[in-house]
Amino acid sequence: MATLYVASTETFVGKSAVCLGVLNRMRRDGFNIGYMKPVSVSVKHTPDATIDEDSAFIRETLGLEAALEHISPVLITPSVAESILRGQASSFERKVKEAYEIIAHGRDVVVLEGTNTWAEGALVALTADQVTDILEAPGLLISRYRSILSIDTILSVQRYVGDRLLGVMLNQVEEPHLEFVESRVIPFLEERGIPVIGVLPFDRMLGGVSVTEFQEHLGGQLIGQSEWCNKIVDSLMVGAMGAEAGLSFFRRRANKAVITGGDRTDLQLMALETSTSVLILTGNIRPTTRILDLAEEREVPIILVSDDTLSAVERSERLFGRVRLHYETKLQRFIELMDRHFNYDRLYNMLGLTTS
Amino acid sequence: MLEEIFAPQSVAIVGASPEPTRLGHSVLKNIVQHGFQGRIYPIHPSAQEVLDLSAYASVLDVPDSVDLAVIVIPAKYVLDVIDQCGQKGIRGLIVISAGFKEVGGHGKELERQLLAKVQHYGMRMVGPNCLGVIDTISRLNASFAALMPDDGEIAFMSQSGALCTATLDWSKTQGIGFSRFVSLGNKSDVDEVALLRAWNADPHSKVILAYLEGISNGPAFIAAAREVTKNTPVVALKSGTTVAGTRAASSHTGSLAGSESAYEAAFAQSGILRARTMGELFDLAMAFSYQPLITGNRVAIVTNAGGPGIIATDAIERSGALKMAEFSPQTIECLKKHLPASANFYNPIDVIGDARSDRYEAAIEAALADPGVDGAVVLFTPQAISDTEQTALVISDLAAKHNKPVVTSFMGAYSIGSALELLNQRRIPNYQFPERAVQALAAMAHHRDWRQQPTPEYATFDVDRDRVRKLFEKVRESRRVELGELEAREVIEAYGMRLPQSRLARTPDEAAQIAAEIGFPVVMKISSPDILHKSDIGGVKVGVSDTTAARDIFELIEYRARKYSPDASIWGVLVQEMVRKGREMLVGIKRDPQFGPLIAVGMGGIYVEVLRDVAFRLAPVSRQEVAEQIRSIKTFPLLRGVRGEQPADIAAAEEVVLRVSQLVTDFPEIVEMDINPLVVHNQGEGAIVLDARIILA
Repeated sequence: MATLYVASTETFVGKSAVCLGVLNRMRRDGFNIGYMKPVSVSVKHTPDATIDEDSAFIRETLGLEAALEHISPVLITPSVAESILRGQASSFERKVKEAYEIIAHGRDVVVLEGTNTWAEGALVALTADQVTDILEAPGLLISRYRSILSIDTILSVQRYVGDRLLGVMLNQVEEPHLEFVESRVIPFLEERGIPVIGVLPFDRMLGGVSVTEFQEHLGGQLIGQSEWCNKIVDSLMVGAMGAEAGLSFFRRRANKAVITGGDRTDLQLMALETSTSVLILTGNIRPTTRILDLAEEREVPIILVSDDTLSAVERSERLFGRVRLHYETKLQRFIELMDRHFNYDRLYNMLGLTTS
Repeated sequence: MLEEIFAPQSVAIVGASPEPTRLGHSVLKNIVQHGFQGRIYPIHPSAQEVLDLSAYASVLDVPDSVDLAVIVIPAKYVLDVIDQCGQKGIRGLIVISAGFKEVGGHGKELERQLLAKVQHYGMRMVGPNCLGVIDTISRLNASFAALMPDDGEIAFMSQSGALCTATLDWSKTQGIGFSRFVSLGNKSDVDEVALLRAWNADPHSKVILAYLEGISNGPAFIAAAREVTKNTPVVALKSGTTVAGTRAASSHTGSLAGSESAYEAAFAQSGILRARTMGELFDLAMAFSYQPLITGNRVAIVTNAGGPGIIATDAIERSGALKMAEFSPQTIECLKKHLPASANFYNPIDVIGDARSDRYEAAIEAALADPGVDGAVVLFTPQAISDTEQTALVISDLAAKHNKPVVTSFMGAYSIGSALELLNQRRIPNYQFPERAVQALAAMAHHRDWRQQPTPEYATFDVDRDRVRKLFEKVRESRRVELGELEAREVIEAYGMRLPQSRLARTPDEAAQIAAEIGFPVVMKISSPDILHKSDIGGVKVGVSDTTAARDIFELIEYRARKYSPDASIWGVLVQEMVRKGREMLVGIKRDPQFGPLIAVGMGGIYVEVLRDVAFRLAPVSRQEVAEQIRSIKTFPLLRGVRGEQPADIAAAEEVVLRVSQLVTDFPEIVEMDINPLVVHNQGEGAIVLDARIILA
């Protein structure tokens, strides 16, 4: 039985996505898989429970049988933190070990989703290096490559956990960096004993938000068919300029959400003329029939909101930058991306897994 | 030539109600009243007779064949009627009924089905949602207009029905007549292109007028207009040209209006004369329909007052198409013989305020007889001893005799009414003021110049189209629309334009190495998709002179970029060959929603936005059009060289424009492109692209 700890040093580098991708592939390769997130800091309260959203999603997506309380056994809620301050420490280590026993039972491989940073979990004595020690799990570091200085963090992780660092996957590498990463960064890291198991190029769509998410977040009335709402919004543009500048402006971005006044027929036309995933019209003003016709023709959903444009922009912006993969289209894309750019054979080899 | 619409042998009016207040009744009445000679069949579900004609319940019940059906029934019944018309073998349709595309939603769908049926049966259709069609040759008034226009040689199409009725009403008081008169309506089938083609070399129409709010298919329109204008002058008034006007047009028509510059270019490149006002539209129409086409550009002015003569002279000089004729010695002798000594014998000829018709006669005869005169502007101000009507008669006789175009400006109104009538009857276009008379003559000269232009020559260069196609696929694959700087360079290179050597350095060491390979000095600039105005943030350094400097500058530029925008993705620093100075131009493309790629050419650099000295043409451009385009920018003398400067390599600049034209024609997905600056060196030394930006659809 093999165990893999998926680690990161910052948030939103794609840790959950990698877990999903790896698990999905392992299952396709015939392995009996298990998944667990030993410690969670970001918890969500539903009417009947407190859960870790990401792990609940992964459980559901993969159709895992294990109970959620075993998949994410330790949730650091404010009351848990407070009880530790009071000195009422319970043994979180034991909790994790017990859950792990249950999860791992009869599996070929268990993937553990780590905390966001190396320090996270110290309060419950379950930081990344502690967990990898306890469960004897080698770690795969997911690192977002932004510049040559990204190497710095990777090396510091190696110093910290030594041999337990199985390797690194560089994520969201922008196209112009790819050649440099391959010719200079990879050889350097390998030389230092850090295998580079995957280099995933930056993908615009994965950073996007679905139209459905927009509508759920903004509220308002949706005009158009629900299947158009599968479209992914890569970026946000605001239509508030004079008509003469509009077209050039809207042409600069693809798959965008355009927020503009319901009365700005000219800008709405231009937005529909360019690559637009959704039109968000403010002021609760219905568009003209001609706009509706064109939107129908182009299959672009329209969301009518009662906000003014500025508020709608502020609210929409909150959606970006903390994107999760909770979306089928994006998930599929990420899985494909990993299949193409992640060296599973090498990973299996390191974990001692053999495909039949 | 759309005979089935304009010259049918028989017409059925579907919806010809016996009730006089119904539209269908008015249409039938118009057809009956205005002398249509063919057979007329009212179609009505219950009436036996309408306006003393036997009525039928359906076109299928009509015993004889029917060529044209005019449809004036509610929209929801139209499709069924079209089927009946199709079965009947009817070829022409005028659908007056409203309730189609213009109401949106189901109306749009209804119109789609309507067109599908029309095409299925191989019919041609004007409308729907139109006023109708009037043809004074076949005496067919298939409209609900209140009037029948006078006979004339002007073919008129209008996208506004209301404007049609207003024009018709006005024309009756002006003595202006029409050959054909069409309200385009939604122009679902027959549009401006079909009419242009139908009216090409129409023996009954000397000029085509068009009032347009939008054009359905820009490239087809240009192609049709290019052909037609070689035979028949076309004058167009396009509304919705200002920013507010465009906005109004967009909400009115529901489609994106083409830009003003695109229309300007489209009209110029297809020989269409553009009227700015309704007044100008008919000013030009009168000149073309009444007078023979001018054969040169030399104009004589005959006047009885100095002031208007000077005004007309100014107008001729300003027109760009005309010039003041220089008289031969014989003409001057002749004028001296017939005019008083105080008269002016040179152009403009001043016959003096006390002139009567005999002096006008002598002066006009002398001027028109001069082989150095191609046309004349005759000005008249009413004076105490003027014999106004006789003067009008003399002018029209001489114009007819010499077969050279003559336009007049009888200034005033109160005392010249009957003379104006005479001029109009005798087909002398008269204008209230001299400038308008000159403008009309200038339009004729423009048209003549256009007709004499040689067939355009298009250049095709050997380029690497495949490489660009693959690159664009890659960009699309990554869900982007804007090309990175390196990608844009690749495109420019594949299309055979020169670029400075340039490579991306990711580290200070690389910068130093690349700089050494390119050769010092070099230019270094930040490479980041998120930083648009590189020089504003200190992201560009010119004249980097050695490897140490290259390393330092790399760090400096990258530091500044990160400081300016911590979240920006930074790809590195571009190290570029330093191009020696030249004259900077810009070549830009914006894809117009109606006309396709519009090429802008102007002087480049940082003052572009202030000077706004840019000339536009639509791609593909011919060699002649590019030559003309570059020469039409105001700062062109800078390229030719001022104060002893050497001329720039204009041919090289032209070639860049032609290559860009080929690129955007090959790849319709390019919606915007900017080459700025294009550095043009001295004659024979070429032109080099320093910076390029490309955006895909």
